[in-house]
Amino acid sequence: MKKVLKKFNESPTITTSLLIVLFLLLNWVSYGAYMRFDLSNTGRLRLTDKTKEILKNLPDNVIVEGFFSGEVPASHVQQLKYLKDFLKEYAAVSKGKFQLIFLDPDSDEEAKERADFLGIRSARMGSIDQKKQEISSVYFSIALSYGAENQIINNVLNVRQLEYELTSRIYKMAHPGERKIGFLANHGDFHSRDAQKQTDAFHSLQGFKQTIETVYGNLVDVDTAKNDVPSDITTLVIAGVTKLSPLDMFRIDQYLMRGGKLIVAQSGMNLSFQSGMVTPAAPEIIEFFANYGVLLSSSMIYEKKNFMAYRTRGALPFQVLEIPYPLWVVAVDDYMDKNNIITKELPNLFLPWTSSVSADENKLIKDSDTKASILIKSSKSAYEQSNNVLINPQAVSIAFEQDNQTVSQYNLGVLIEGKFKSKFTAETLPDEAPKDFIKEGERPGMILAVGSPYAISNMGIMQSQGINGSFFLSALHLMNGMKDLVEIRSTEIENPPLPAMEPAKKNTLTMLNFILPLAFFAGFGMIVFYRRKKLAEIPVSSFGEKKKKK
Amino acid sequence: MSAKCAGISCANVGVVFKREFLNYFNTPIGFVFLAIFSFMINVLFFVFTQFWEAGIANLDRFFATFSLGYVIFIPAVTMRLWAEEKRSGTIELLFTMPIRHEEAILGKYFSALAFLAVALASTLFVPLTVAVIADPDWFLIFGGYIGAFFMGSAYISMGLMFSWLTKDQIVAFLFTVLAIFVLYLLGLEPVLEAMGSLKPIAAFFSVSWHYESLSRGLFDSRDIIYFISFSALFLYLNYRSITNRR
Repeated sequence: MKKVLKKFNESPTITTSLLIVLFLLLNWVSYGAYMRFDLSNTGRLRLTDKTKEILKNLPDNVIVEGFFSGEVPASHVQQLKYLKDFLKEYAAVSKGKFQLIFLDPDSDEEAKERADFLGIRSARMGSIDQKKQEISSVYFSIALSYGAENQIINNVLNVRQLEYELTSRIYKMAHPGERKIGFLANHGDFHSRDAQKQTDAFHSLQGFKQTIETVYGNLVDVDTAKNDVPSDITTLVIAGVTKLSPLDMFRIDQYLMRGGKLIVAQSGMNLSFQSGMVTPAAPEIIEFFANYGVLLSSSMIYEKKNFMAYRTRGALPFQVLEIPYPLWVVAVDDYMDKNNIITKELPNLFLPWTSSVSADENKLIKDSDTKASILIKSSKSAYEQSNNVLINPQAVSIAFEQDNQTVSQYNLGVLIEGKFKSKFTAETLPDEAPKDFIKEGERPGMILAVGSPYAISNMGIMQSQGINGSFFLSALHLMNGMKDLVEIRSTEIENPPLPAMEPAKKNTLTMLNFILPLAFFAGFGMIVFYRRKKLAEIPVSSFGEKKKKK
Repeated sequence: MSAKCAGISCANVGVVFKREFLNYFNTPIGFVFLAIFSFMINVLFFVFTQFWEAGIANLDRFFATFSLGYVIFIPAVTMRLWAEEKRSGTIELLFTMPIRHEEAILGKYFSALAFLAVALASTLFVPLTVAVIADPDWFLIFGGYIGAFFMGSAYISMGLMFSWLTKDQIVAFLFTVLAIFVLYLLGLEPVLEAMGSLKPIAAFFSVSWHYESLSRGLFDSRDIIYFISFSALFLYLNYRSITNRR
């Protein structure tokens, strides 16, 4: 045996071949089990576990085509590199499920045709450097393909939460139609249709619909006057209802008993823009929500500290006046629940014409899952008014400057989780309702309630620059078992910018970087050669003498 | 008695290391190499990557320049390691000494690594400049340097072997330039895209492709294993080519 091994060892061909095989084998094994972590402080290329899990569990491969121009303005070069690195990181952690291709439509005709086919547009980008100002048309888009499904992210440089945008799109493509969001239609002024007129912005939920569609698809209209809430609706949105029949209530109640989730954007007051009057909402509606622990107040909140100003034209041409409008409440992050995943990273929430809303945990079946949290509060400089509420900005402004109301802090948003009790255990059933109904929640449900239906309409979504949309989307993720997507949303990394500097200072620093190493090596080199020269001058025989002296 | 590992004496490795490392500085050539490397990295970074125009205190692109800088620098560092010994005949003297081939290889390899470390240290002025005017991520910078060192170590092992194959330093230099350039090209996106289905294989063999993650501050055990095994493979091939020749 020893002889065989010795012979084997002495054969260079065999040992070399074996070592090459070992090299390949070792690397192949290392691809099966490996460690990978981001050394940066900010974790800029660190993908969340949820993203990794989604990629790992994809039944099929997702093909990602990055359409990036080869030449981009200098001010965007770094961003392009980061973007490519980020996409490569997806590919690296996906174990082959994320197939990445970079294409340059500017130099490749086939890539250009592919971009046109997918509806990818170039974006106009301006940049100013010390020599010239340039505006160029560049490609900065991503196309994701999964089976027959395609998703496009155009002008990706404007995307603030890239990981969220990519992961949520991949998730949606891989799980089409799994989670559906319904909207209780035909029960008030609010609707999910396009805003045809400017005034429709107050009541259209088109902006909300667009916010959620990348993950949840279309917002489905549900009319409980006609049918039960469909079983595939995972969350039902109720916004600004003005009428609810007993049958409507029964159907919503049973939906909750089955473990349904509700987003309630409902005020305790109804607004009429035509008359400028504010009247209390129908008591049966307030009572209906109170059955599930959502206590809507029949009053309107005036926020004296944090509010959005009302803009109107002044007497002079192009003059814009800003009028203090305390009815447009802005809840700021100081008054958000920092322990709740929905509000933890939320900078603010715009709640126009809002009532206060509280939670009553006693309305739920007591068990370990029962929980009622106050998510959003006003500042301590707010007050509420139930009578003679005016919405006219001029009138409100005058009252604002004169008022001497006692101020306090009010709850503006609540989250209730747990099993609910049916309203109809103690009440008469509507005629159309089946006698055999669910009296206690079969599964835990969830209700998120805010005191303003306008927070979820186009008005709230647009005026808040999308922050309201993020809030409701995070709530939907939480309700639909995608808590991790909320965490991905809060992952926003920014590269530290260089401070503004004079070109002369930049040039000096650049020159120093060139000169200092050269000066260092030249100096060091001279010292070495000076010493060598000195040594060369000492007679060889004296080396021994020196040693002897020592 | 010196420490031994697998029959290799650390003292003997140390003797060769010291001799080779000091050799770099015995002539002006070593200083010239360092100065050229530093100058080249600065040109690539400040001129070609448009650092000031980008306006971000991020050194990703600084570390990316090492891939290209090494194409010239590493062959210059390794070309003389064996070729010069063979040309001047000191190789015979070296192998008559009580030093094993493995010890001589490792001594030369570590000396080149130490010289590389000095060269990398000479580029520290760039991160220091950024630190003066902004707040860069030092963990990323540390990761970038570690990656650059690993990539350099892989190239050095390859350059060392090419240096053995010829008596002429220039030939050794050109062979190494060519090999490093091919491995660098294999890691470039357009080249990889052109490879079609061979893309994963081409990427695997490219040293610069493995360096890319590290240059971005991503520590990946696969890249580290690749660099170490790549270096080990070429050091072994060097050893085999010495024993065969003799």
